[in-house]
Amino acid sequence: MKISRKWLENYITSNKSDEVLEHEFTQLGLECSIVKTNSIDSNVVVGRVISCEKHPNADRLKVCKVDINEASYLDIVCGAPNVTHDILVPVAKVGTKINDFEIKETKIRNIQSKGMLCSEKELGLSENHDGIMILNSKLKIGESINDALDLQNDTIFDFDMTPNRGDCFSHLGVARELAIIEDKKIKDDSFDFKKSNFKSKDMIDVEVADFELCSRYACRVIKNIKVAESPKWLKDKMKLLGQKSINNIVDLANYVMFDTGQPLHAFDYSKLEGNKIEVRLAKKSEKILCLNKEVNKLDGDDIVIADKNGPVAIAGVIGGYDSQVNSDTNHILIESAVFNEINIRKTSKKYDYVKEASKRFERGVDYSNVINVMDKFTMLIVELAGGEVSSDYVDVNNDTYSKKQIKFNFENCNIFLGLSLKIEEYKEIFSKLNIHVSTEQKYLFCEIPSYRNDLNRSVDLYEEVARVYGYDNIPISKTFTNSYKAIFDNSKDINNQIRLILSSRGFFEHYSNSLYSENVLKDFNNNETPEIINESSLDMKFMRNSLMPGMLKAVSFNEKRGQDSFKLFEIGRVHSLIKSYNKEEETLGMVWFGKSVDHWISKFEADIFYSKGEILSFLNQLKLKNLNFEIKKSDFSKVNLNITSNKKTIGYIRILDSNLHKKYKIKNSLIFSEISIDKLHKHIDLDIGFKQISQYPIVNRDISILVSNEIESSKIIKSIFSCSDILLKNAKIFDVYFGKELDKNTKSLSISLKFQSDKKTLVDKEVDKRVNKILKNLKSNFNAIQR
Amino acid sequence: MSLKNKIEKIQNLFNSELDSANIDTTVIKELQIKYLGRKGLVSNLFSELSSISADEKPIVGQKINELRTNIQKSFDELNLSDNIDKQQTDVDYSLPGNHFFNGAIHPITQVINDISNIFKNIGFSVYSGDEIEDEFYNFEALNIPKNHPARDMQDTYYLNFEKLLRTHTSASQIHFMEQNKPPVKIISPGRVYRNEDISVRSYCLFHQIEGLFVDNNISFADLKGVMEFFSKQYFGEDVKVRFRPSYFPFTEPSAEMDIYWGLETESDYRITKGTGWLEILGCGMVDPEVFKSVNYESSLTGYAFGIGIERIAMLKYGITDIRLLYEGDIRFLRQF
Repeated sequence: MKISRKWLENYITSNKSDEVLEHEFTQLGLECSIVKTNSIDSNVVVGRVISCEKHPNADRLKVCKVDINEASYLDIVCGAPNVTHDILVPVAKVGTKINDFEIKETKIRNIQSKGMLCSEKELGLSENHDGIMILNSKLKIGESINDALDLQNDTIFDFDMTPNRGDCFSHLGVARELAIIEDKKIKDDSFDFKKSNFKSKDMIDVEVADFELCSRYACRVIKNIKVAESPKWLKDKMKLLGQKSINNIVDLANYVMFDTGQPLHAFDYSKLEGNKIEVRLAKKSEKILCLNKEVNKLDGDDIVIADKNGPVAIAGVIGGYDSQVNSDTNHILIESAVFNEINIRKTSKKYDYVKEASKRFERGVDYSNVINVMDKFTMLIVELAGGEVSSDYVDVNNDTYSKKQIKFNFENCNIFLGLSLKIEEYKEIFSKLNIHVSTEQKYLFCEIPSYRNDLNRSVDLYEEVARVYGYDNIPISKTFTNSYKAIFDNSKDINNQIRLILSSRGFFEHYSNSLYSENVLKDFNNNETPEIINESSLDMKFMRNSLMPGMLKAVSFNEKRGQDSFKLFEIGRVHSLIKSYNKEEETLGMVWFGKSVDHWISKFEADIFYSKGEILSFLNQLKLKNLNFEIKKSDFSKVNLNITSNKKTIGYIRILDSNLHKKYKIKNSLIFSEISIDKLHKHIDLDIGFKQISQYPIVNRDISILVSNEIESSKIIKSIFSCSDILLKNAKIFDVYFGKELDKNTKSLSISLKFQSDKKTLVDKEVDKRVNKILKNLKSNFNAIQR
Repeated sequence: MSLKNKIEKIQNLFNSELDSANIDTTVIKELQIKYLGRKGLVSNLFSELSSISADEKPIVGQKINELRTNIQKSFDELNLSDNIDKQQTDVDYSLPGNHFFNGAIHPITQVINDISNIFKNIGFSVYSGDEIEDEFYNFEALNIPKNHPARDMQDTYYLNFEKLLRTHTSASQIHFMEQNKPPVKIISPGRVYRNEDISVRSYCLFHQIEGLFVDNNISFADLKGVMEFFSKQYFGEDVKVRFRPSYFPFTEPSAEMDIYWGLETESDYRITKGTGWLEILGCGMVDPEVFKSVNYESSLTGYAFGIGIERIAMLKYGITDIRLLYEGDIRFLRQF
C-alpha cells in the first residue's frame, strides 16, 4: 500500500530522513520500501524553441534551435507534429536516460541533433504521445523539469501490510504508527460545513436486517451538488494511489478512504426507488448490474444494499451501475458503514474483486470513526462540488458496542518476553499506543482503542509491548533449555545413508516435481493417485505415483544437452489413493543411462546386469538380508525383475520399453529401478553376530554343464545349494556359452564351486563325493549333461 | 650315492642352472618342469624314499620337502620380479585411469542436512510429516480459520477427497503435539506446495524446515538466542542478525529474522533491495490458540520457526533461477 510522506504531514511531521523512517517503520512491524516519485532524469530541462524549420532531407522532421539557458542554442531534430517556434518544452539533453535508453548526440538524415524534445509519455507523466509536451510559458528556462513542475518533493513509502493490521491501511493509521516512532500525538482533525434545513431522516429510511451483517450503517443526503472533473490536486492523489480518476465525488470517496481507512460510497439519490434502503443478504436469483458493467447473480452470502426494486450495490464490494453518480446527478446519498468481514471476504473472492474497499472491510474498520469520516467526506464534497447538506444524518447501529478491556499482568509479560520492565515503563508504552490503563496491583486494565480490532488477549498486548520496546532491544538468552524428556526416538537416518552410498557410487541426486498429467502416470503402475481440483495446468493435475516421470524427464533433458551417460537417483514421496484413503511411500528411484565408448579402457553401456549388481552391492551395504531378483511378468515393461528381501518384494528393476523411449524422446539405453524405502526399512538386519573365520584352505572345483536354454541359471544355483551341505561355501557362474558346436536350444554354463570346512583340511575324496552329488542332482532336475 | 647327497647335488645343480640361465619365460618354464614337474627331479627323489630305512625316512623326507620349497620359492620370486619389471617397461603411464562416474548430493539435501545438524546438536529431534493434509492440520489448528485473510498468503492446492497439499511444514507441529506430551523439541523438514505460477523466483513446491520447542517458561529471549546461535553456526560467527515484527496466525508475537548480507556487489543490492539486510526465516512464540487445538495446558509457552530451504540454497550458492533445482541438469548437479 502506498503512503505519501507529504500526506502524512497532515497528521504529524518528522525530521527523520526517508531512509531512517523506512527502517523504523520496518522495525515497528510495518515493512516498507521507498519509492521516489521523481523518476524524471534531472538532465531534462525547460527549453524555448527559438526557431523551427523543415528538415531538408525529410518531410516529417523539423530542425529546431532550442534555448536552454546555456552558452549556445541546441540543434535538435524533432518529428512531433505540434512543434513550433516560441513554445516552452521539456528538453532531454545528451546523456539523459529515459527508461533504459540514453540520449546521444547523433546525425538524423545528415543533420546533427543534440538532444530530444519530449512527450508526456516519454517522461512517464501520462499516456499522451500525440506530440511533445508544451509547458506553461512562465516557467524558467534551463530549470530542471522536476523543479519546474514541482514533481519531486514527496516520498512514497510502499508498505507490505500484514493482514492483522487493518487499522494501518490508511494515512491516518500509518500516522498513528509514526506518532509512536516520534513519541508525539497526531493532530486532531475537525470538519466544519454549513448545514441546511432539510433532514436526511425525512428523505431516506434505512433498515438493517441483521446487525451481524452490518453493525453500523450511516448515511446522509446532500442536495444540488455539481458533479465535475476532479481538480488537479485530487487527480494527482488518485494517480499516486494508482486509482483512475472518475469524477469529483467518486474520487473524494476514494481519497477519504485512503486517508482514513473507512470505505465510502455515494449513490445517486434520485435513482433510489421508494425512499428506503435495506441492508440484507441477497435473495436467491437476485441480480445486479455492477459499475464494471458486469451482471452478477447473487447468492445468500452476499450482503446487498437494496431499494424497493432490488439490490443497488453489493455492500462493501462494488456499486451498482444504475445508482452510480455521474454528470446527470444532482442529489446524492453518501454511505459510511461497517460490514461483516467474512461475508465481504467471501463475496469479493467469489466475484474476484479484490478492491480497495473490500480489502479494508475484510480486515476490519473502525466502528467509532464512521460518523467522523462521513463528516470529512461531506466537508470535502461541499468544498469541491457545492451542495446543501442535511442538518442530520442517519445512523443505524446495534448500540451494544463497548470499549474492549484487557487485563494485563506485567510480570507475566516480563517472563514471556525475557524482559525486566517496571510498571511505569509499561504505562509509557501503552500511552504511545493510545491504550488507557488503570492499575490494580500487578494488573493493568487496558482500554483498547476502537481501531485496534486485532487486540483481544494478553498475548496480543505482549506483542505490542515487544514491538514498541523494539525486538532488537529484547535480550538474547544464551542458554538452551533442554529436558531429556524432549528427546524423541529418531528413526535411523536411512535416507542419508542411501544418499552417501549412491553419490559415492557416481549417482547424481535429483529432485523432481511431484505433479504430473494423467497421461504420464499410467506407465509405471496401476495405482490411483490424488487429483488436484484447482490445478493451474493440466500438466500438474495429479500427484506422482512413481518417481520415474520426473527422472525420465531429467534424462531426456540431459541427453538433449549432449550428456552421453550418467546415473541418477531421487528420494521422495510417491502417492496412491485407495478408496479415498491416501498413502505416501518414501521411495528411491535409480536410473542408469547411456553409453560411453570414449575412454581407452573403461567402456560403459547401461545394462541390466550392471544395475542388478550395483543394487545388490548397495543393498548388502545397507544390511538387507536374503536378497533376490525374480523375473516377473509386468504390464509395464517387457523386462521386469522384482527385487526381494526375505521373499518380500521391495522394488523392481526394468529395461525402458521402446514406447517410453519414444514418449520421453530418449535415444540411448536406460535401466531404471524403484525401491520402497518404507519396505526396505523392515528388512534391514543390524543384528550382527561375529562368526569365526575358517582356518582351513578352500578347495576350488569347476564344472561345466549343458542345459536347455529356457532354464534360468538362478534356479540351477539354487538347486546346487539345496542338494549340498554346509561345506559348499559358494557357487558362481563364471561362463555362459552359446556356440555353433552346441545344439540350438542348449547353453553351456561353467560354474565355480568353493568348498571349505571350519574343522579340518578337506581331502579330494570328500570334495569329489559332493561334486558328483551336485552333477547327479543337476542331471535329474534339469537334464544337465557334464561337458 | 646316498639320497642325502642326491638332495644336495640337485640343489647345487638348480642354483648353477638358474644363475646361468637367461631370465626368459620359456627357459624358466623348462626348468620348472625339469625340477618340479610330475616326473621331475624332486618327484623322483620322493619315489626313492621307499628304498630307505624307516628310521631315516622322516628326516630325509623332510629334507626333500625343504628342497622342493626352496626351488618353488626361487621360481616364485623370479615370476614376481619378472611381472613387475615387465609392467615398468612396456606401458604408457600417461594414459588416463579407469573411468568412474561422478556423483553428488543435491544442494537442497545438503542445506537440509547442514541446518538439521545444527539443531540436532542442541537437542532437537527430527520428525517428518505427510505432504497430504486435512484442512484442520494445515489451517484451523494453526489458528487460520476459514475465510481468514491469511489464507490468501498461501495459495493452496486442494485434492479430490477433501484433503490438500500442505502449504507449510507447520502442519507437522500439530500432529506431533497430538501424539506426544510436552516438553516437545522437534524439527520437521519436508516438501510443501503452493499453487503459484512457475517462474525464475517461484515454483509450485519447495522445502521447509519447521522447528518447535514447547515447555514451561520459554521466552522470546530464548527464541532470539536459538535463532542467533543457528545463524552463527550456519553463516559464521561474525554474522549480524536483526529481528523485526511480522505476522503469522500461529505465533504471537511473530518475527522475521534478517541477516546482514552487505552491499558490496550489484547483486547484493538486488537481493537485499538496497538495504543490505536479507530475510532468512520466520519465527515467533506459539499462539495460545494452537495449544488449545492440541489440548495442551494454557500455562505452557514455546516458540516455532520455519526456514525456506530453496531460499537459503539459492543465497548460499548464488543460484538465480529456482527452476535449476528441479531440472536435474547434470552440468548443474555436478557442481555440488
